[in-house]
Amino acid sequence: MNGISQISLAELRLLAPMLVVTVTGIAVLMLEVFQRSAMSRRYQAWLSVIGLGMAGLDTLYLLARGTEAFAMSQLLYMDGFGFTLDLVVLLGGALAALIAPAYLESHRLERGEYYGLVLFSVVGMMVMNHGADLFTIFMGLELMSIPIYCLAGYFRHSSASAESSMKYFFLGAFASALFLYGIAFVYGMTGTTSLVGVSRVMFSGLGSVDVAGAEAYAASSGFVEYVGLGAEGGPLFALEFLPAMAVLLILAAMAFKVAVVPFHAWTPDVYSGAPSSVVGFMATGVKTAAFGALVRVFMVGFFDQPARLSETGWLSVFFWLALISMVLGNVVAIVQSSVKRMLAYSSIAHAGYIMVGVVGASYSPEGFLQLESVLFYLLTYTLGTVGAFGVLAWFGKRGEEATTYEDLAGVAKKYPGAALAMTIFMLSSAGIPPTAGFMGKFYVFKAAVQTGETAMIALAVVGVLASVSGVYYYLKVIMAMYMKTPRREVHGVAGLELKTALVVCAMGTLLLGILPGIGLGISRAGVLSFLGAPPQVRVELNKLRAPVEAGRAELGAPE
Amino acid sequence: MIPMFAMGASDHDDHGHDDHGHGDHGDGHGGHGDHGHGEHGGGSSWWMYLLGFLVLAPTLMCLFNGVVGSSGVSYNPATGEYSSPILMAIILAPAIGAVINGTIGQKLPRPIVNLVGCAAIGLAFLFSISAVGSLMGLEAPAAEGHMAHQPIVYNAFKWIWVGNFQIPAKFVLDPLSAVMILIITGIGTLIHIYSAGYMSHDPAYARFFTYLNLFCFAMLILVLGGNMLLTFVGWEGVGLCSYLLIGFWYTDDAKASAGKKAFVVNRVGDFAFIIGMFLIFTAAESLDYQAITQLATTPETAGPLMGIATAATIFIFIGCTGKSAQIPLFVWLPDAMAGPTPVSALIHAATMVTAGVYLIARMNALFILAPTTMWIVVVVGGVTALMAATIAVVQNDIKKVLAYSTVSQLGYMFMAVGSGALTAGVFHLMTHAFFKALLFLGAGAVIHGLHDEQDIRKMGGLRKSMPIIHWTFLVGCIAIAGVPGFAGFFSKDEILWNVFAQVHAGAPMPGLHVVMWIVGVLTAGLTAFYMFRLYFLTFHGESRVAAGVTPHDAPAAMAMPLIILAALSAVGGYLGVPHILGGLVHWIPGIGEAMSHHILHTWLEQVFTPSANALSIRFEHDQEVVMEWVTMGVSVVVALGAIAASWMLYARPSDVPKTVAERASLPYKILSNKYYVDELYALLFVKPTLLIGRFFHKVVDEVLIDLLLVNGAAWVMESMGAIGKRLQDGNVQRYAGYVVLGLGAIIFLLLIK
Repeated sequence: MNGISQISLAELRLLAPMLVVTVTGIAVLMLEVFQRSAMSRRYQAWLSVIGLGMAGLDTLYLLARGTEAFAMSQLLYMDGFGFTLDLVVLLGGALAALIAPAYLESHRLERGEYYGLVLFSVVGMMVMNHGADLFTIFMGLELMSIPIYCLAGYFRHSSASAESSMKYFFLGAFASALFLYGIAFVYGMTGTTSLVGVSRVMFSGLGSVDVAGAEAYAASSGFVEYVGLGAEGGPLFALEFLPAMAVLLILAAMAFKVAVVPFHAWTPDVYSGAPSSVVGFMATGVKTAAFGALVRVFMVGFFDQPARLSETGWLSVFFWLALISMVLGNVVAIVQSSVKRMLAYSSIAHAGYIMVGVVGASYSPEGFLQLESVLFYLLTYTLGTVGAFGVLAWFGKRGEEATTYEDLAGVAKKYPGAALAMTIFMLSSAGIPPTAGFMGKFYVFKAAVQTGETAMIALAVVGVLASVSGVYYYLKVIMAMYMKTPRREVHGVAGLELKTALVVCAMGTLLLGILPGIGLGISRAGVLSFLGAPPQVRVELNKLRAPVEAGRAELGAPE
Repeated sequence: MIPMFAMGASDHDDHGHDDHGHGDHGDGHGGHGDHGHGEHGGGSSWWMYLLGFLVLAPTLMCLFNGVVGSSGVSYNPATGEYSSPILMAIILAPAIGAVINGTIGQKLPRPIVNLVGCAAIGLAFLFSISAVGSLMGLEAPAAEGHMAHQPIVYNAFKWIWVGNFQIPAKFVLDPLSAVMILIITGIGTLIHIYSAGYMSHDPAYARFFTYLNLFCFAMLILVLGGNMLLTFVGWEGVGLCSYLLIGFWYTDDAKASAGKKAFVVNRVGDFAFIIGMFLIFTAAESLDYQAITQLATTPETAGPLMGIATAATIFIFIGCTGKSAQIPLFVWLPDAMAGPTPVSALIHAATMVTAGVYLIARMNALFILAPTTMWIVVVVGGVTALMAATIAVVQNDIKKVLAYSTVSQLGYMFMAVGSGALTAGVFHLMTHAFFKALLFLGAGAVIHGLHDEQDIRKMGGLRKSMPIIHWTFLVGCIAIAGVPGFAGFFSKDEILWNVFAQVHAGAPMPGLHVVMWIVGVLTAGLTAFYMFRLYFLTFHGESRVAAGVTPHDAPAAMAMPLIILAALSAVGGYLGVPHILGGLVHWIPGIGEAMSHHILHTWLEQVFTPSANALSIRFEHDQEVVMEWVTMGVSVVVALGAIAASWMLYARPSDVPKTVAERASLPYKILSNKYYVDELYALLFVKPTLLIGRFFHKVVDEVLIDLLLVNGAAWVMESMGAIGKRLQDGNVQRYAGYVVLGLGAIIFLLLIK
């Protein structure tokens, strides 16, 4: 196709949020030129927040208008699902920018590139959220990851930070290689990297409505051998070795980014070495974008029956990944002595919970709407986790971070606000009402239970049990803050920015816990507007969309 | 349409504020021994609050009226309902007062705290008057040619909205709740003003006013709530405030545990209330009072309610016995006297404890469907009344006498509502609120004036040193004793007559109504006796006041409420003049005509009409008017006789009481030990519970759960965790290896296996 010439102004309009973030990132970098050494860099944080906020508002506008379109020659889906994920990512980015100034100042790390890296990484995440093509997703993945590698090593004088960065980079590169390898397999078989194309070519013999169309598509894409295979043995994807390898390689790369067992090994080392101010962002933003891409790839590209549901389909792989992650993440978190490592393992467990939502949602076309639980969980997880790392960033100075439980002893006495906020985040992470985390867990487990399958219900039960054991180490944090006597004086530095971020996180956590309808409404809007959904899912979504469309028409919205 | 939402949240809560010097709340007050010393508490500036209030309140009223229009009543043609935000204003005024005093009260000067506390409830009172005024204006012709009042409904917001379980935060002002809010806010205001004097020496006065306002807030929700769940919220709210106020001086262990006792006993009742609510919801699929009444009074729809009516009403009645201190859950109320006396007056006499009576009156349509329950209510009420009255005779603590008297009078109210005389029950609720509040406040003033002396054996002859308290207290005693012309006479007589005359179906034995009537008359006599015993021992005879204590009369802030309440106790009864006495008041110009027809009955008629219709089928018509004269005569004679007996025994030095106590040592012992009910409960419930608890603690918890399950599970978890931890050795090649191994394992399991 003759790509670039076809980019229209209307398409660019849809990309406005991404462009705004990109421009803000460049602007922040440019401003560094005019920076005098004595000047505070706090304004850069606020500038980033303004940029992200504007992008967020525009995203919200696009979401509320029900925008659904392709962009960039069908390389991007500009739909509600992507926009909702964008909102989460933008929120995470803005919070990361707010947490930074006090931390960077107290650790003497003020350099201009911090905010630029955050912003560019956000752009990469947004590209992933909208990816309609395996290559777009790969591009987004790299654009997201490389700034994150740099941020992980931002603590240049600390060997732990450098190690964290290097490990993340090596293993990330390894995962990227797996991903590319998977793409190569897919392309080799189908002659296309577009998700819809993959789906049509690989599975046209089954389930899908339009065999002739798929054949024509395959023919036009120059994949000659398809006809022969299809004619001989029915479906191409009868779980033969080659297509299965393709699916599994891509799955492994995605699983690496969302950090589920057994692709999680990098997480604790990277999280504990990286500066506290970015870990929250690393944990939430990356996970959000990666889950978005994962859902998109598997729901659009590999949704058809045998690939998903047969005994060897990817759903069963997801099932086991979710199960092991929840159990292992929680169990190993118990024995950690460092709060940062504990949170790293807990993030693995959280990835497991989210995976439960994905599994529940992909079980049947009717259950697809349950993806809203995944989006909702990502939102609640972002608030709680960024907040928790924000509190950790509050304490310590000159390269000495507060990492162990002992470091938090006595915080409640000296910094009651911080302790209260941390308590809220810990309760939310543990899933105790009335916090957002509880509602999040409730909805993902509900997604699994609503399938009615015994195995799924068992998965939810294991999830609940695992999260119960999680309460132990979350409460340990609260106990350390409120009940332990400090061995040495706690020292913390917080500015207005950090406090703002924590208040937003804490209030958001409580708000979504008490009135989950707000977050759930947005999540549902996102799921209902899911471009590229397979036909059988589309039928279901259309049923649910009808009232929404009617409502919008009533309001007389444009389009 | 896709719901829009607000990102983030406002940052009005600064978590990071490094302030750890919060106001020290350790304002516990080791006994309140220091109040009342020297000059009159709060007397010097009480008029300032009054003046400030008189200026402030009308201003705010005008402001409110200006904003929402005259008391804001508007008609909604779609629903056919009248609506007014003034109901919210009534409820929220005390809430705002509680918030102000609860947050910054510690830092405010005492006059401001007092002003805020009194103005909050005073404002609610003015709003209530305005709202009830509007309600009186909203007349609509009812079925039998009477005028009914369109209730004012205010739907504040959708509260719980799950499937068909839809509960709006809906507040309803109808004649019944109108009576209640006037009592709550009116008497509440007087008691708040009184408290400004009574608590003038207590360091925790801000906390006190916070709780008191909070209580009014909850109580108003209770009576204005348009559905059972909202009432339950108020029900729990008043329970909480009661607990907080009984244990107000929480540093005193006995007082703290009195609070705990009240709370725990009430939980038993609350639990029954909840079950009753569930039952009703299963049958009616609604908790809305109007809906339930509609269903229950329409023969075609009453079927499903019939099935559960008896069970549901019994459970609700158990709830009522908790809150309104009836057998078997009355044991908490006497102990609740540990709280400050204004609390006893407001919560444990005038308002909260009547919630059970209110609830039955409110749900009358359902109770009518369950005659068995109605009889249970009558019998429980009657037995409680008699039992409490007998205990009151031998009590020596001035507040304990009043506490048992309250239990006894509440029993009266239950007798009334149980026999279907709902108006009489509410009427007695009202008059009792007047005179019992008066008596408690008077007792409080005595205690205050004697520097915390509560034992009537150490009083006597106080009529000279405390003239205002003496005269107002006397009015209260006359009113409660049922001397003709005073408030208690009218309401008590109406109850007795109705118990005697109203016989509805389902009586477990013939003539039970007569038995209950005799119980009622006996109780009336005992009431007159012990009240005047209290009066004579306190105010007459030789002074037995401890040396060194100079009794003083009530300071102005305390005297004013006493005088107002005394006036109400004297004339409050004329709201319910029985028809046989109608001629006596008919001549009064202007209001005589209305008065001769029992004003309260006319006012409440529409609320009770459906049930009254159902009842009239079962009403025994052969009771003659002459019988009404006879019963009235009997109760008057009994009351006057009891007063005379008490005068002979206690007004002058006499050996008779002591002799009687010695001769009848066993009954005396039983009575002064309150029938050993506390001991019985300890034996039946507390000890077994403790035993079970100990078993679970020692065996189940420590061995089974702690050792085997918890520590065992923890051990397993930790060992697993340790293995997982060991795998994490920091070697990046190994990590990559895990990825490969993991992928390999999946491929193997899926594809090769």
